[in-house]
Amino acid sequence: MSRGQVFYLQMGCLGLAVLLAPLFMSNPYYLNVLNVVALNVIAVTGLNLLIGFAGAVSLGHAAFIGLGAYLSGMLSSIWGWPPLAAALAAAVLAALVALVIGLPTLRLEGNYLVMATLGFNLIVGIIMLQADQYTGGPSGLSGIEPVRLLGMTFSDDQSFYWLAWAVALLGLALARNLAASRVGRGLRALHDSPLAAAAVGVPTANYKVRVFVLSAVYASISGSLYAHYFGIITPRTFDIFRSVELVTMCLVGGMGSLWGGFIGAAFLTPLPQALHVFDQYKDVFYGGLLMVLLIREPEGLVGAWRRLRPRFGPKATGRPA
Amino acid sequence: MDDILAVENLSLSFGGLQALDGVSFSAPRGLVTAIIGPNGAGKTSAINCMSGVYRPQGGRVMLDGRQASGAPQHVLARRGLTRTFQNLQVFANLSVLENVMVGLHAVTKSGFLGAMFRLPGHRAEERAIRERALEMLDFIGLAELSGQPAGQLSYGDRKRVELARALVGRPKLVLLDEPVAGLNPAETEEMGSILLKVRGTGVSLLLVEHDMALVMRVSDKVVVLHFGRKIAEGTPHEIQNHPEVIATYLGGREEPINGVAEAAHA
Ligand SMILES: Nc1ncnc2c1ncn2[C@@H]1O[C@H](COP(=O)(O)OP(=O)(O)OP(=O)(O)O)[C@@H](O)[C@H]1O
Ligand SMILES: [Mg+2]
Repeated sequence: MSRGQVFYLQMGCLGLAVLLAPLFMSNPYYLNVLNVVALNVIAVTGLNLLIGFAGAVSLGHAAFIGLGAYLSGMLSSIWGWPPLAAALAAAVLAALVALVIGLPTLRLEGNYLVMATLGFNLIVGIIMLQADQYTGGPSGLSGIEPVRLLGMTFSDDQSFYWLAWAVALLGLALARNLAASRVGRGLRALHDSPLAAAAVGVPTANYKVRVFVLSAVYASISGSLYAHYFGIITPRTFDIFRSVELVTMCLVGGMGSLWGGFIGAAFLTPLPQALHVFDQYKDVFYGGLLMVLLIREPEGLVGAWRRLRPRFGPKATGRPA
Repeated sequence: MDDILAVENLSLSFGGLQALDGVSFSAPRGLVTAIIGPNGAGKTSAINCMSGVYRPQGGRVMLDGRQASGAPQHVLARRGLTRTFQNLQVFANLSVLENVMVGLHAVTKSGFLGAMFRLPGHRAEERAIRERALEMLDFIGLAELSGQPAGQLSYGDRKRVELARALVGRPKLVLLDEPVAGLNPAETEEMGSILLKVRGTGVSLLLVEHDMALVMRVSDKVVVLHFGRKIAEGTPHEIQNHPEVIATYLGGREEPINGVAEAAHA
């Protein structure tokens, strides 16, 4: 089987699991958790493209999610835009902001993007708190309309489940198509050797900026869906700790592996909810986990699996490309 | 005389160190030009100026009659100039086939959206990329290893991957920084044959090499650098008998010039 076929087989299995999961959910609360997983999968998939394929890290992705959430929420609840149009406009704005941050920082060698995005996250947080006639300040924005499409309203846990997972699966498939293409090879090449990538014609700075913009769009869409689902948003949801959480999800699963990002989001999202003691020390937990991962297992769960698999299963054979 | 590359009065310094000092030479189209010189002579610096890694402080580089110095690397790649590296730069996490497929980046077009949505033009291009890369692997003798991660190959095979990656887009000029350094005699012999085969397809080559036997075997023209200056230029035969070259290389030692490779490398 080619890698493409393997991926679509995995996608098919995941799609089936998504279809069947609600049958086994007695408690609607679990659906709510799965919905948040889907929203995280969307954001993490975008972030994973940036970290894994361009080798750059953003510590401001929560701010892009916040941008998507607030802009979409404000446009629809204050100015009466239809939610989908509002989400689209928010995505365009997030892309522009990412362009402005990425252009100067990603041309330089070294991790300037980390600092710039960190600062960006702080600034966005302050604006959310201060511009209270639009954002509602610390108590946030409420009464945000749900998404409506083709006569359906995606307001309750069950209906939103279909929407969120459809977008998450689509996001994964698009990211995977990109990774397996000329552009994706160029990105992975520049991760391995920027010098050699440039020498074969990869416009390295330009590609890094584009993939950063793309990851911001993923984040923004995740945020918009979040806003229209919960109907209420507060600044705390989009703070710097949330950004650390997203990076941790990428690394837990395994950076550069799209399934790794998915696994990271699926694994870490329910944890704080499952263990309530955790909730209070969530940020400490994510920070600590991130540190341990970077030191002990930079390849994440997917890397550990690849390393351990030969001990359990039949020996992995060389796959044709 | 039809030159694919002309270097005019090139100067480059690192702080106080003058790596290149008013160097001029040209590389004739369709032939093999070699740059030789002791360690630190400025050979790699010259390649870096020609390929857009460095912007020279003085002089200019003309590629196929148009100015090349000042243009970034990826633009020069699109104009038909590719290269290999003295310290290997294969894409370790990509397979051998993917490494060579990336070599077609400069001559293909599809972008982010075309790739994400698998638009028809993009899919046709992907097929063409794969076919061309497989042809190249056959040519260079790596077809068997196409699925291996390039980082796991032997040193000699990685050197061939780099060459295949540089050649696959049918460039006009390939700059090779020490193509046989670190190879054993059999691999060196084979690399020499590959280079002559490439020359036969009409691609111009410019190589930097310490292995004099290889230089004498494949080159049509030799340029000698020493402390950032050009001290000689001519046919391999002329260079072998050039008094200043002999003085530079032998420095009083009584070795024939064919032994220079080992002496310079030690
Ligand atoms: N990035 C750099 N910064 C400072 N000095 C440098 C740099 N690159 C090269 N040099 C110096 O410039 C001079 C020329 O170096 P270069 O690498 O061009 O030599 P070379 O002829 O390729 O030598 P070798 O045969 O050892 O590869 C050397 O003295 C080297 O130390
Ligand atoms: Mg050198």
